[in-house]
Amino acid sequence: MTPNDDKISSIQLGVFIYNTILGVGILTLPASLAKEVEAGAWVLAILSGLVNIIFIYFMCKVGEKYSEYGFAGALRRQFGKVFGTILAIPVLVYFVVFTAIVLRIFAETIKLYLLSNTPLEFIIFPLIILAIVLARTGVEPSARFFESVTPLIILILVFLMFVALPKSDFTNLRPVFSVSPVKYITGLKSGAFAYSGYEILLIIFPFLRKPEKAFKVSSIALIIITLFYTIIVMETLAKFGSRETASLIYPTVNLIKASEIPGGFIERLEGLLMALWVIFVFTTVVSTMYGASVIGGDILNQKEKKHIVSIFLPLIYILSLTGESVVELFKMSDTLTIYLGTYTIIIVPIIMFIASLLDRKGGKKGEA
Amino acid sequence: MKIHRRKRDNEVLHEQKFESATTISEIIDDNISKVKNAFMDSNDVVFREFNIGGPEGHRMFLSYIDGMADKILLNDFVLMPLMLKAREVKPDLEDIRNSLIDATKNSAMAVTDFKEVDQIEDALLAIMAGETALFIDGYNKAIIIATRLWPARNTSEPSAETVIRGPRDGFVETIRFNTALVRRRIRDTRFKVKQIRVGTRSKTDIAIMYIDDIVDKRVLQKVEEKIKSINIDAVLDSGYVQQFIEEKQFTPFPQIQTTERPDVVAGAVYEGRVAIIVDNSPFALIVPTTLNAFFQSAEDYYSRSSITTFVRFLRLMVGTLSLVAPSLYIALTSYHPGIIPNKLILSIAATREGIPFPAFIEAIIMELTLEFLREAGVRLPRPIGSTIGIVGGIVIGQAAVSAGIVSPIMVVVVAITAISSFAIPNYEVATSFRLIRFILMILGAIYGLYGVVLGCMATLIHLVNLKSFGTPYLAPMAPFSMEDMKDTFILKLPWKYLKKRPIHLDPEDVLRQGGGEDDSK
Repeated sequence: MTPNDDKISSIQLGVFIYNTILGVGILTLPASLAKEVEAGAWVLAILSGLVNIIFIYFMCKVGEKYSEYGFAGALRRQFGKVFGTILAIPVLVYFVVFTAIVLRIFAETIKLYLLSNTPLEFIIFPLIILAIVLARTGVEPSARFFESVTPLIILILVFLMFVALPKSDFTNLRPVFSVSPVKYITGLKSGAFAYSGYEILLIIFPFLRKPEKAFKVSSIALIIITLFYTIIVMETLAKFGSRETASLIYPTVNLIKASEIPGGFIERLEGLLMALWVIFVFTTVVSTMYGASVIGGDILNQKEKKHIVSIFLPLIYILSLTGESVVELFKMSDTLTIYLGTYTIIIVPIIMFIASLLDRKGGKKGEA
Repeated sequence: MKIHRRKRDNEVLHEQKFESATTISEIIDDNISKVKNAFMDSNDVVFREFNIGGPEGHRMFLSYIDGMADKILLNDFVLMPLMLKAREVKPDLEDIRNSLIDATKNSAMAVTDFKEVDQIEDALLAIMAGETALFIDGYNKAIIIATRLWPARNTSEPSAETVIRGPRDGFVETIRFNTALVRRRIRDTRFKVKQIRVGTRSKTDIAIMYIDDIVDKRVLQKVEEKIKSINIDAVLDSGYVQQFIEEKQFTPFPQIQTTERPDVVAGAVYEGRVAIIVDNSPFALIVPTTLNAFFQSAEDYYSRSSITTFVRFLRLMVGTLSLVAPSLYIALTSYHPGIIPNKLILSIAATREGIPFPAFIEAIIMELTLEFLREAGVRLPRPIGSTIGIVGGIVIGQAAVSAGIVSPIMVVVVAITAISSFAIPNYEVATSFRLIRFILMILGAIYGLYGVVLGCMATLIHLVNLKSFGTPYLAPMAPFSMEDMKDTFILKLPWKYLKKRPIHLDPEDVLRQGGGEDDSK
């Protein structure tokens, strides 16, 4: 009999982080990295992964200390009620806009590869509804859902790695220092955001059974994803070369397109994999939606998170349908990552970390 | 009008009878009239008045239900000693008269099991359960003699869960036989069989079985609470109890495992689960259960582990296929023909050329035909059933195709679906998959592959939220438990490696090997 307290175990946290990060980023990742450093893209993938561990460290340290307060609660404790709330609102906006953009990119891609005649609204709507149904049930059932799709996701990823191997030219990869180190550092700003999704760590601490293990587990999750991303980038570079990779919109899809299963069992592999990729996006959407509802609930001082999720439904739906084309969409996405993303992933954890060092009393409720 | 009034009178009588329990009086005539009144108009009840020690002797009265009590036992070991043997002793011996009751209980009746009650209601209840009530003049208690014997089916091989390797006995309709079949497999004093009576009119016996130091006490408590809270006039089958104690009623997925096999019940009890046996039902209930359990057969634990692993892998494939095969067909042919290899899609297109219906209608027609056939086959007597099978096979296989209603590829899809849904070991889960298959077909017709994936995710969301007595339905996959991976959907290690009981059940005594000392030492 499992206790009904809506808390998740360490393994579940790892799976949560893993599934949240894996989403739409994987489709465009090789192109955005190749644009920055061309053939050194695979090095940048590793570097960006490692850089993100630093931010995970900040988030976990802060989260551990204030694990009973939650994100908005910790901010209020550190900066006072009004100022803390003001600091928390951009993060809420970030989660909402992030969800909307993920949904839009998802719908555009599904339209492109699977349902060319179906309007975007009809693609987005059922997914939002399903995501709300799951997010409403709480973090523990969501984590269980993530756990039960994980074997399938791992299977797909491994399959993807092997199926793309034939007819690749690995001389397309360049050694580490063929690109100047300065370029790597400037490239980090777009590279690091390919891993976004782990900022769910900000809000998840009140729901952890063992908050002290969070850093270890989420780093492991991130390292696994770094490995996987690096392999995908390597294979894309090997197949298309750096210049062509940079010019593709969805290089990962092209990678699948260019590969085929021996025996001709399935004609167009990318169609099938796009259908299964829905699961990747769904987990991300559920997670960020839940994040938004938790912060929203904290700001409004609502204990019941269930209904907060439903409030975001029309907002996310409308936001996801604004903007005309894919080009505009990616511009919006870039703006989001530069301003709100930097704020959520870098600035907030760092100031909270510094403030937590100054807060001698500690976050434990009993002592306060 | 008249009948109506009498009915009401009876109700009043009934209420009175149960409102105030009446004690047995010392005057035998009172008791006789009470019993006869209660069983008025019931011709299957036998009332027997007799005197012991000759015509002038002491008055006694016994009552039982004809057909439910063992008459030979009554004649030879109760009436014979009382009526005949008693005459051999001089009747007027004063001290025998004085100690008549003791003499009756201790030296006259040669039966192993009797008890005494002092309420008329208890005596009536015992009579209705097949026991015999004996009243003695001047004694304010009734002696209840265990004489239950009624025509019962012999233990036979369970029809729904046949195995090739493994025991062949199955449960029957009598609760005592069933508990004995399980008890025979668990010679442990810590194995408990707790009995509860449910049903205001049927008074059905329900036995809760568990091993005291393994079972999760919270589960046991919940089971007992839920069974005791059942308030219905009659419980005819364990299906009644199942529907009362399940947490979610409207889901197609059973949250309680049913089985006809005593070895499955014993295995479950050893794992720390609770088994419920209901009188008059050959199906035992097992809680808590997981989806995993429905994909396992008793044989998995008797045959070689590598074979079992392979078979379980097959079952997983089969389960997936029976869910998505027709919806994939619809999605692929009507939305994404590009995914199917060129040569195959050409031949599909060629065979579908003369078909007037879209793929969805075609699939619905065939799947429904299949369901009709299955339903017809189940209800018909066995000899006619096979005819239906042959006719149906021809209709599905040949005639529908040559008539131009469906394409041959659709027949293949339907056949695969049918075979795979029969290969799921548990009938109830196979049925729920049938239901979801139709929903997926509709979604596949609306959204193509995207719809199929959406439908599967929705099903998974539902499954994730199901719990069976506190155990998540998808355990040990979600929440993940490394230890339990040794015996799960796919993998099954040899017994030697299964040192622990399933962790996700939270057993009090975790060790299966090397722990749990023998209680007889």
